[in-house]
Amino acid sequence: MVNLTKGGNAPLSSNKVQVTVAWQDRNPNAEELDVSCFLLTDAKKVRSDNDMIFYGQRQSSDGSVRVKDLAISDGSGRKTSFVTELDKLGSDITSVAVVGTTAAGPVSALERLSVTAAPDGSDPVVFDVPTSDATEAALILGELYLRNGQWKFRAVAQGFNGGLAPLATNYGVIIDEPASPQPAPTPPSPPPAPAPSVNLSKVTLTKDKPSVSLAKKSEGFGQIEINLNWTQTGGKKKGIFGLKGKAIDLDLGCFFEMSNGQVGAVQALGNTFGNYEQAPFIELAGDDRTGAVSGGEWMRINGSQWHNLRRVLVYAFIYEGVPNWASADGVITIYIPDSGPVEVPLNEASNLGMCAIAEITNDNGGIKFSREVKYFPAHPQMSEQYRYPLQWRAGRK
Amino acid sequence: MGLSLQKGGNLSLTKTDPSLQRMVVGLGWDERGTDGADFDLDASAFLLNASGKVRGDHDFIFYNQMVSAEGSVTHTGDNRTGEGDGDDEQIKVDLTKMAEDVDKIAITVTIHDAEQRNQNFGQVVNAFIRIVNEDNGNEVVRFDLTEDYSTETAMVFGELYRNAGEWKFKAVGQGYAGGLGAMCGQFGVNIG
Repeated sequence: MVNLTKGGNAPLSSNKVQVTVAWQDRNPNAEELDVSCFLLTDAKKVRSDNDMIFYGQRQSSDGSVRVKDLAISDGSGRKTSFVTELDKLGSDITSVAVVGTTAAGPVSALERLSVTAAPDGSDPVVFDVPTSDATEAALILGELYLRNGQWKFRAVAQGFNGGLAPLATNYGVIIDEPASPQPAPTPPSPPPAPAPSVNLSKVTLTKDKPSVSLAKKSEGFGQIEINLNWTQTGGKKKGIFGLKGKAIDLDLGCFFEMSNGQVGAVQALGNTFGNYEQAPFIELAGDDRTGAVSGGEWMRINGSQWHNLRRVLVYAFIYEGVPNWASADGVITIYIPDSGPVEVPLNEASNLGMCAIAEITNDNGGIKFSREVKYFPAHPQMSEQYRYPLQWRAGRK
Repeated sequence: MGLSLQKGGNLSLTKTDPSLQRMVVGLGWDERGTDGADFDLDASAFLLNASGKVRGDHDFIFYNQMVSAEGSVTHTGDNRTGEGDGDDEQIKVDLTKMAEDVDKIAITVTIHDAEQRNQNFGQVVNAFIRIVNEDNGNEVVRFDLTEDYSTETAMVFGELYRNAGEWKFKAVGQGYAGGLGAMCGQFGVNIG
């Protein structure tokens, strides 16, 4: 193990490096740490917002930097780790900054903070970050950087008292205005849904009828299945004909918030497929990129564990192809045992790559399905809008 | 690009660059982008006799005493933040004007108030010190402080010294605890 002090650096003997940030709060009810990686050019700027890898965008577009673990328990504290494959980075990227941001208050609220760069097959390089007098709310913990053809790691521990916003601006990331303190506006309350526990005929959520509710069931809801299906260009259903020409590939995913406040995402990108039997009790079936799985993409929610979930935001994003939602003619169908399916058609045009389709909310033990169908450029804007990051931080308090 | 000498490496300036008579010691670094105290690096020169001491306090050339008695060494002035491109501080050395009893010139670089500010070279972005032939602009030698002297706060960059009728440069690269004050003590400068 190589220990660095502030300012120090060490060479990395492999281009595959796992970066782990571990921390412990001084007060168990205190602030959490969000860890991000910024892919930077020689000018120390990102090329685009895609170069910021964090909870809302868990891997770089070339897959070279990926979130591996997100704030998982690590003994008395927590850790977040990234897998980096430095030789897969674009040649214009010459450093990767590893940044820690506290939700509120300075980094000195942390009892322990360290960043480790572990090259594949050799000694890790460790920097124990001094926190006691750190006034910064966003700290550049360390950086991986290319020097004379060799990747190295530097212990930085410099940052910004103002937190993530000035830090991101420093790196050339465009920050949206903070989300309004209220949740995303939902359409006015619809008339009450038909009585629960009877077999609902198929319900289609539209602008005019944007939500439906199912009352609490003592035995839980069984297996809730969510299907995403869409039409290929030329009217060919995906799964019957292969991907050709201007075909687009949609990926199904969701953000979830557990009743204990834990927040996360389930999606194929980043290989966070979830788990049906354990938290988050949501699992994505194999990614239908090849067309082998007929009927589009499937996700399951363990309805017997519904009490462990507070809300689930189901979304789709265009993994491949030009965003053209109108011609994709996508539809989400949610199947609940003993009830009719709930359907949300994606019938509005947009050229943005991501669509928040429906939010499933735990309503005093019941299930409320709300149509969203709102389009976003990418994960960060959507998680911001639906306040998953804020809930995430607050949820750990 | 100039040579990158290892610590203790010797370079015969006369042989490497026979035209070398006037040189510029350049110290450069980037302004701090993060919050916190500025990084204030200082380049200084000590004109030393054969026993390694200054002849008098006037042989210490630094931000408060910018020209040596003979005009052989000139400091261009203090830069306190690193603002600007290229060299942020320069010390010009004219070997042709050097007094006979100056045997050696020690070039040092220090971080102002490093201890109070808890700073070292590794925290500064793109800090370097180099020697450039003033007559033709060629870089003769360069140290990358950020990279190779990251945990130091003060160091003797190198020594220009007379040897068998020619000037040589010895790359010292030796870190120094105590900063500029301690260096003054070693070289016999009385500081108030």
